[in-house]
Amino acid sequence: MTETVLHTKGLTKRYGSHTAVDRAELTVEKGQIYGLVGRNGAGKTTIIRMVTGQTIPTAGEISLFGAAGKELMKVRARTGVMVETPSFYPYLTARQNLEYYRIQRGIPGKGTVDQALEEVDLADTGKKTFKNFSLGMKQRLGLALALMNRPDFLLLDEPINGLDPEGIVEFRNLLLKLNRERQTTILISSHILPELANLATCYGFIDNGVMLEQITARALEEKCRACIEIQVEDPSAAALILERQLSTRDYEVLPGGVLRLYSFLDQPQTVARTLVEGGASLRSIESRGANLEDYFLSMIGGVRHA
Amino acid sequence: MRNYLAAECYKVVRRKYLYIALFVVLALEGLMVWGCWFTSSNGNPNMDFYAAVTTIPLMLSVGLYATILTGDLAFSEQYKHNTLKNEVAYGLPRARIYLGKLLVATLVALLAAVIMVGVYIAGCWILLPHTGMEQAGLDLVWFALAGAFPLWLGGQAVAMASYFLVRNTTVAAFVSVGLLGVLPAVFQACGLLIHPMFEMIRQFMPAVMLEMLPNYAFQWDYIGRCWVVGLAVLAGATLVGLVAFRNKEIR
Repeated sequence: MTETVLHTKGLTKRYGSHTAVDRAELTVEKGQIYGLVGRNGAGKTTIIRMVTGQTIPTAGEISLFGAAGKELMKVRARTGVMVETPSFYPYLTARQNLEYYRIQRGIPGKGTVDQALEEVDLADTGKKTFKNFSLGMKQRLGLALALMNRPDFLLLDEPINGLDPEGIVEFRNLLLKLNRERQTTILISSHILPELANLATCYGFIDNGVMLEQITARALEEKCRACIEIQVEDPSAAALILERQLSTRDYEVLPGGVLRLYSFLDQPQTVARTLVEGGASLRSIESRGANLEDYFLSMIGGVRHA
Repeated sequence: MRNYLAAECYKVVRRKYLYIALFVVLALEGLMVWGCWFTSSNGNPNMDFYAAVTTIPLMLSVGLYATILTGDLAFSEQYKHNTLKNEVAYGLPRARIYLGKLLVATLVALLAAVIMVGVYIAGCWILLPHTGMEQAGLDLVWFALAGAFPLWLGGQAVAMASYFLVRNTTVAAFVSVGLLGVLPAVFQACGLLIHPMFEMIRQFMPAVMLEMLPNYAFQWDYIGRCWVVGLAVLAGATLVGLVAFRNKEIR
């Protein structure tokens, strides 16, 4: 049985008349890498802030590791969090900043700090204080803080902002390693969708504070798979023609007279000719297929400006 | 809570601000002691150890406003650096965060007060002539400090509440000054212009009680009143701060 790490029910946040998050239902299962997808201002950060206790929800429930209400506070110690820009004391070094939080949270072992710094490649920053760090270094220190307590659940809000291409690859590999080796569940919000597509095993799409859909990466892949979509009067008959004439069974028949063909993708004219010559009554034929970005854009109704 | 306090102390002792502020204040004190010594050594018979230390009760208001500095030191511009989220997000109770910082600010204030008063008295003891009134002078200092301590505690709580509730540190410091220093003046004016009740309330404000303290030398019932007022301000300001901080949005 899968264990639910995070579940929100009717989660709502209003700021005056503006509803930032509207009755969001979100479920993250143990071991998932959950990609929270949405434009800037869609409500991703507000959801993460509510889960982490930074913002008090206007309505709704949050359950984390099965705990809710006042018990939430205790289980938050099992999370690692990086929300927006990492923030630290500017006059302290990377090691001092992490040591401060290690003492504060009662994490045993001084080696924990060094280990966390090594994991994010910041072990040799010496006496350089946080205020002199580059954006990428700040991001990595934020990640080190999130990892220091060996969390069961990582919540990362736009974590790759400011990382260079090499840093992004390292970061991705680190997350995959944590997920694989420690079974760390990860919720990651980003608007850099190609990067998210390399990581996520499940997606939640949010727009204008409303959760539009939750879907596994496999189901999404299935939905977005490249195909030739054919509209005919009798799809069963058309399928028979394809089987006989083109020797393919790589298709599926959908309701509404739709037939999707997953082979001959570069030969739509051949497919059309074969169907017409076979006597099928062809209404339309078009090449289809989408990536995460296309899928998200089609969901929110095309490109809009925030 | 012990971990939290240890971490706060770890941070505070690594701030240059603490040492710079202490250095400046001690330098000013040094200047004062030197002034006393200079006057005394140039033939002023009235300047001795007793005269120098009995100025301490007259300067107790400085301690009240110094709580704004120690509060800032402990609070460490959390809103400017957005560091509170690192504490809240990991499940630290907000009450622990609030009370932890208040306790550390109080501890720093106490240590700073001990150092400053200690250095001043030691400087005077070494440099100024003794006239047999030393014990009387010191008794007066201890008396004044016994009354000032709870009022400083109240001041510290007011300053800390301001830092927690006002996002801008400079504005928070001004709010503290307003509540601790300007409000009594407003009440005084209201007492004259509107109703004598305002003047009566003013008499129970920490800044006013500190000013009046030298006039009540060795009147222990006044010290008792200082404790009641100081602890009431401490409790009131902390309660207001805690309740407001409980639902505050942390960015």
